[in-house]
Amino acid sequence: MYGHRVEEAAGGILRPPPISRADTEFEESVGVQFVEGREGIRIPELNELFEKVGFPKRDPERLKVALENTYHVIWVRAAKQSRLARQGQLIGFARATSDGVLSATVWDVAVSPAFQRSGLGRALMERLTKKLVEDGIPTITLYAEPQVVAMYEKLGYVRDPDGIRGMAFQRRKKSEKEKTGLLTRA
Amino acid sequence: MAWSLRSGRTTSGRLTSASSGPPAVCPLVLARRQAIAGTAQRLLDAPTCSDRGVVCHGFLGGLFGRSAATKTENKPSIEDNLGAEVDELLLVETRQADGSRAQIVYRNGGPVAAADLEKLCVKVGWPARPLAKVEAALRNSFMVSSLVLRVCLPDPASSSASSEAAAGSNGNGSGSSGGYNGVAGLVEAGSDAIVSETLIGLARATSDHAFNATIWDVLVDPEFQGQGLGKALVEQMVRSLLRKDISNITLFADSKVLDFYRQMGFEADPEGIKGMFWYPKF
Repeated sequence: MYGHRVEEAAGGILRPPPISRADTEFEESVGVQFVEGREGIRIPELNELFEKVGFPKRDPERLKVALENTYHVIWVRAAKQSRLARQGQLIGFARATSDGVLSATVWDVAVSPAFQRSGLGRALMERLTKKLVEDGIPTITLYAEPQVVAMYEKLGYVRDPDGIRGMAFQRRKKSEKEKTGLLTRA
Repeated sequence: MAWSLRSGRTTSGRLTSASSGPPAVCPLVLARRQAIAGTAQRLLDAPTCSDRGVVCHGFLGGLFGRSAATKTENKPSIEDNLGAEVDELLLVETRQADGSRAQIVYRNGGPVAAADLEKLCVKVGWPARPLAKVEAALRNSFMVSSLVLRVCLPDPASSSASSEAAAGSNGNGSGSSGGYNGVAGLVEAGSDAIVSETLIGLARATSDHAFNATIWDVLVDPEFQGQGLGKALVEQMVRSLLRKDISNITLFADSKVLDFYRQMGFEADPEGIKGMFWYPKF
């Protein structure tokens, strides 16, 4: 009966997550800004971030295509120069593919290791999920590595609801570096 | 049977599993077809069986390697034979005594009417979703693959010529040895008049057009289940996605259909990765 409880609990509409810390607070205490949309993202910088968190480096041209065909992108940039980052540097990222109306899937959640204890992963996911919920998308999904499942559960995501499992086609010819390309990490 | 998590649960996205009815079409294996664009080829040199005046052509069980017979390390993968990109693939063809033909065709990217999809959803037990949303979802999907039942009537002027062609290719005697290689035929429009086309199956995928794709809404009309059409639909879709270099193909599956996907090369929770849903309890 997957779905029923949600409707009953939420009166037919999914609830967006609360934004636990405001943008202004992040700007003051961590020195970062959230940016919605892919405008301003430099592909090499994004690849650098992916490398830092252990994602495979992506072909720049294909990464550009992927961003153009991503339903929603949210990222974090350093608001000012600091010992951790140069001003404007991309230090956090998350995106979701979607048909815009029925279903969405979150991919490539990444936060620069230097900023990983500032709550940026949670903040990115709250904002991205809120956007998807407010757009009226009823099925919002992601694939999470074991070590980040608990974080997503805290946010309000549920694993394997009613026995529904995430599956991935196992390519025989995939290279090692492709192996973990699907993960969301934060 | 519904093979995948249905998206859009506002109207209750429950998963259902309808019982399969008797096969409507005689299952056999299709002969291999050369993928020559623009060449209309008859399927009459495929193995046939005559039953109640119906000549049945081909089916899918052997197309991609029968899973039961190949539970080995070297199990064939969908990846092994991607084939050429095609818009349509003939999966099954039956010929009636009156010369009319019924074909089941896999179609990639063809237009699908939202109303037809929702009719199908109701048939498998999914409550209908708002048509405007379904229409938008189809439009915004990276790939929409469908199964279409097509009924054709012969054109009297050309029917003799096509019989000749058929006889000719039968006479070539490539016969059974070369004929079971497991590639479905190109759809041959011929000169037959298409009487009707009915949507009997669908799968769609969202994607970033580069790395990831997620398959949703896999369903087959209960009247046509039990023939391997769902398997053919998903396998062809996976092939199409791999051809487009999408390396990460995912889906969400109810426990009842895990094996259905496993035998096609999908793995649940690969490397411990968990499928999660926004499903807040607060």
